[in-house]
Amino acid sequence: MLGCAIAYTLARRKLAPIVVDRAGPGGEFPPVDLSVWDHTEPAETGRLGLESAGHFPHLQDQIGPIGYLRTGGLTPADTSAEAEAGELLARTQASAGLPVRWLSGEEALQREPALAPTVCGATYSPHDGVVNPLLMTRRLSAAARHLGATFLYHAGHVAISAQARWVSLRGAREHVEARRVIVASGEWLAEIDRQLGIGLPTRIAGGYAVTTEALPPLVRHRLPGVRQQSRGEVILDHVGGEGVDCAAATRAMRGATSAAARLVPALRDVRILHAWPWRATMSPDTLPLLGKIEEGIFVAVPHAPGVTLVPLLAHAVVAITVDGRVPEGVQAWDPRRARPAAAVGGVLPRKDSPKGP
Amino acid sequence: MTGPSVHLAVVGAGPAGLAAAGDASAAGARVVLIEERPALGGRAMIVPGARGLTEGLMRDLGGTEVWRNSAVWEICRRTLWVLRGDRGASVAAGAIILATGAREALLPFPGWTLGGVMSLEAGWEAVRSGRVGADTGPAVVTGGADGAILANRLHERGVPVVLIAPERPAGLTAAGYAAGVVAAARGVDTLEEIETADGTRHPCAMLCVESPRFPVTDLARRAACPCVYQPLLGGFVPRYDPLMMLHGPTPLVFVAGDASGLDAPRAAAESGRLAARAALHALGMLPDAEERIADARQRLRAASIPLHARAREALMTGAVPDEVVEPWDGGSGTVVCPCESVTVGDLRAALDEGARTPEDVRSITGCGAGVCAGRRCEAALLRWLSGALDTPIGRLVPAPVHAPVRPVPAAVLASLVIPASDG
Repeated sequence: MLGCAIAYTLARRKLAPIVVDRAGPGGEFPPVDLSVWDHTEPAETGRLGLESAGHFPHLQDQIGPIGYLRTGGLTPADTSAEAEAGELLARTQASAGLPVRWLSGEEALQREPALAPTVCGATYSPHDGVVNPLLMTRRLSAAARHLGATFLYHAGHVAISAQARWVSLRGAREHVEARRVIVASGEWLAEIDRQLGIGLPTRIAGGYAVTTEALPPLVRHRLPGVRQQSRGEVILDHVGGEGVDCAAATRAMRGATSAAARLVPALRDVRILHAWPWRATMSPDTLPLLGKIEEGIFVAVPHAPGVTLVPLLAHAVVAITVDGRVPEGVQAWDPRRARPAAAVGGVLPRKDSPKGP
Repeated sequence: MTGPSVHLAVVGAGPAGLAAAGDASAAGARVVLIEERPALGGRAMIVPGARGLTEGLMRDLGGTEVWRNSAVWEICRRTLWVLRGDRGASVAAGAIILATGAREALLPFPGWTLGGVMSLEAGWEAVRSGRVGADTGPAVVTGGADGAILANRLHERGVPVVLIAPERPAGLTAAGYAAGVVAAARGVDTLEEIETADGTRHPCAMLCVESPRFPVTDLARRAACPCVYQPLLGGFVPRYDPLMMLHGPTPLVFVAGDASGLDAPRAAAESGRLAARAALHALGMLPDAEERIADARQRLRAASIPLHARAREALMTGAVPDEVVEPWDGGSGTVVCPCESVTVGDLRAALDEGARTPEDVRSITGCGAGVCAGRRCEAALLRWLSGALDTPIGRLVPAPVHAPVRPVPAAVLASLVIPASDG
């Protein structure tokens, strides 16, 4: 999706980008709505996330429906200790200028009647929302294509090599040479990093989006790990278990349903239809990676499988790549922060002898 | 929530599963036989000539523990997760035989998702369960000899029935006949009439369409077994060795019956016996194993349809099947995936956007991501893609099967006890 968003941003500036993807369109996300902005994020990324979330309505106006809905978000507290921590979080976020406040148990139940009656309070923000990532990716790619972008899917393994002025991408069927290449996929980042020997540490995260059958309207807000789609299915998140272990899906379904039923008791009586796995490659400190990694090669990788930062990262990487300007607030995401000192300034391989993965 | 530990767990109680369970039980193994439906026997109970065989196999189940109304929703190594009615259970087994049979799947045509439109198999289910009679309205059946038998039975039950086919099948006795091909079904939510290619209309409340059958491979695919396309065996089938053991990361998971490739009911039973003997041999529980396995293999060959036997032997030795393009197409408005309301037009748009695989199509359109997890649309999607891309169907990789392979109540999941050996 980020690649499509960058292509759209570039194409709007009449730069006719080429998007190369190892796989087909839209495959990185499970087919469920994803959260946009989480009001419990640390204030620093929370501020940038809120700014990015503000782009979604405009994006929807520009490219058509992407399933964006500002549902508001609640993070309930069940115990007095959780309530104390929640009140503190609400104060901290509010003092950092974020629209977050504390609700009493009664107020929380008024806003979200499906919550367990034992709820003793909740942090609340009206700005949390959801978006349909598959719809958003399709709309972005269609809009980018309309403005002159080219998409090359199913490129398979791509060898990358960099020379003084050109970066070459050579796949089984395609050969692209470009002045600037933006790596907008975590999985690519790991592979390209191996090929160029840059030494960017990355880690793989994974989880499952567990889907219920379609239900009548039940959950109005985005709750921790629980949200209801407009068609009625409730999505229960489980983070952890990358799918390599055959019991991971079972464990994820158990974890997600147990947690969800504690929050919303009515979810105990529904049927689970799917556990969609996801995997993402990201930086070890979980902050995004944004900036130049080698001459002509730039990176833009979100901080999680979420989509909140996609509009902001797209604009920022275009500013860095095209205008040579690092936007305010994103300096901390420089990819070189994660690079071991010994690898900095390493010699690039020759164009004719790219290192394999 | 936790269930028994057994020597052998058999999934599916058609002829293959029944034969496997009975054979293993007779050899002294502790066996559990898990069947999704309330009755044993599967499709063989409605296939003319196979009922006697199946009833005989049922009588020979011996000490087998039989779980009816029990759906396996996940396989993890040699543990099965099962929904027994509305309760959860698990079975840890020394060996597993997947005898999940084949499924008749309608290939889409205008109106195929209306209530009352069904496969011949579903028509037989309606007859067996007494849901049809003189007051259920007129019926139309399409197809050859199998369709004729169903039409005759519907007529016997007092249903006004017409069989529509290009040629009158020999077995059609009392039911009416009209020459033609059904082109569309019409109605609002439920079927009201069908229209043939020449424009003739037949009012009806039930349309039973003879449709191709496909091996059910969900659990084999969840067990990470690779599948290959073998048209003679009914489509994509899991890879297995000459002892019916699946290729994949977990040894001692076997396949038998129509799930390993379509064949005659007797061949299905023999493949079940072969798998059971191979499993027990691997567990060190079968005296005279080599002799008995050789006997089972010989009986399987003898019971098989010759072409199917050759296709199975080729599959076992790793031969690459013929590459065929089996195109299917429909009008832009024809629904392919009823769960997600995906039409042929949506598939074409997905191709225009760069989709080249079933997984791409699922990502873009949601085709196969609905309640039935692709069971109703996968065959049509693969054929459509094969034709649209002019690619042999065997080169397409079906979209991955995700857990659970059957819907599971959240309460069952929340109370799962996952053995430490499962991860």
